[in-house]
Amino acid sequence: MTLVIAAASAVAGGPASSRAVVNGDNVLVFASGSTRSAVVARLERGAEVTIELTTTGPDGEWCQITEGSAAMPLGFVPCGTLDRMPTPRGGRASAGASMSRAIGPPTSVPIHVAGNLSIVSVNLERRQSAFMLIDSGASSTIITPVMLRLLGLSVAPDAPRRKLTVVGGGRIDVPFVRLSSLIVGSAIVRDVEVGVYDVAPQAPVVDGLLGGDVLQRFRATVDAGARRLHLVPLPVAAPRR
Amino acid sequence: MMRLLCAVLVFVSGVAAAEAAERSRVPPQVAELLTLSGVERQLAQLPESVADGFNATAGRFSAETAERIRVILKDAYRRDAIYPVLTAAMTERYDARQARTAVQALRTPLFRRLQALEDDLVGREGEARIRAFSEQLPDRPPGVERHVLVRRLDSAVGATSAQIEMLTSTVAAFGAVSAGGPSVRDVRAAMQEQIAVGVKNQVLLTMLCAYQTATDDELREYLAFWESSAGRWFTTAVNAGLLRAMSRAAETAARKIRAVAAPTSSRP
Repeated sequence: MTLVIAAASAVAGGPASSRAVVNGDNVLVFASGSTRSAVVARLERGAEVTIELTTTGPDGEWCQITEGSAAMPLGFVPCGTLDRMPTPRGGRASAGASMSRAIGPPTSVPIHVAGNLSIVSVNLERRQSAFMLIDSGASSTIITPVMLRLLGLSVAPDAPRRKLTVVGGGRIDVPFVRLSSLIVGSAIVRDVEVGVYDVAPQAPVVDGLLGGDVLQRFRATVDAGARRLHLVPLPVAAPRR
Repeated sequence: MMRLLCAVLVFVSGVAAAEAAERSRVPPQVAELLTLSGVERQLAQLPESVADGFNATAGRFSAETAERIRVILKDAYRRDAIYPVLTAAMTERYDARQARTAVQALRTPLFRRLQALEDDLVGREGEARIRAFSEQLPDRPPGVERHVLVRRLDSAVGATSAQIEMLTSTVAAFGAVSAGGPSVRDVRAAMQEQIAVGVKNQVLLTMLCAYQTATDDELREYLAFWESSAGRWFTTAVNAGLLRAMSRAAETAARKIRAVAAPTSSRP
């Protein structure tokens, strides 16, 4: 992947990631889901984090985490070093960000690996299949201008725009459009906002990027060995009285 | 355009020989279509392409066994083993009116020029050009309209789907004769998942690279034929014929290779 879009705007994530507390002393945070990767941070017992994604591979189950209101994931820790806790919903949203939940039964879809790209097939607007990169570190889901055209849509002159940061630190101004649905396997996310940008120009097969704003509506598990993405839609919290 | 369909065989690392195909009365326009579309010339290069593909995994075998496998592969994919099966399959689907229309289209200067552009990307030199093209895409991206046109072309000629089908059928043929190997259905399903993205990306890159000097209007005219009833007839007939010929060749070669390589390896 030559270009990964990460959040730089005030977007603070989707509606339903899982909160957890560190249950050990000086827990090492790794760059990827392996103890052979670089140590990027240490966490004290009791530190609160957000689990963005869980992956299962040869080294066991790993949780990708963020700290506080950080937009970028901090790294990976063994999931056994965390105690999950119930999290009040609805507190992490941004102007214009879609808040719809995912519906449907738990689903499992194949991950296509092409070079260093991990890609899943999704259906957009119930009429166009698309190959999208999996990038839980990106706060926004993106589709390419080509996919936008294939969907028969266009960017309105008054479309909302947000600043996103690309790998290398550059900032880009990206217009957003609203899709009526995004379907992964049998899971449906309705009324979702997506940015419009060519995320991988050297790979024309890539139609976009499935970001944390969508993935956080699920308990998402990447099974690297079986090359499958498991998604369990998260329930909607009852309204507060 | 049909040239792109045969490119799949570059990826095949070990495919196999064909049995003598049934001869049938082939309408002359079938032969002309295969010539105009470049398929016949591509078939002539097939044995070497398949043998080249096998070389990537030849190290798993002894030198003597590897050489015997190369001979089997070249024999399996020789032009006179593939061509009769292909033309017989096309003859079964022959439609004189559609064939006439297709021949007329393929004879036009525009089609000949675009076919020539596709020819330029065949072989190792072509692969290198496609790689170089891919690397400069971030700096010189084609327009959205060009992307949309090549995607429609891919869909119209069934390039990605035909390549995936031929690859999976070839691998499944080897799987079917491998003792203790996974079922053909499992092999096909796994292959479909594994190669779909890579094959489609390669097809799109190849088309984007090939037609750089063509205008969008020229591509629209080209596309109009492939999306017409005559274009669809030709695409369906050629793809079905190629699939049958490749599958038959793979099955035959797999049996022969297994006899040669069984003591040391269950699958090439």
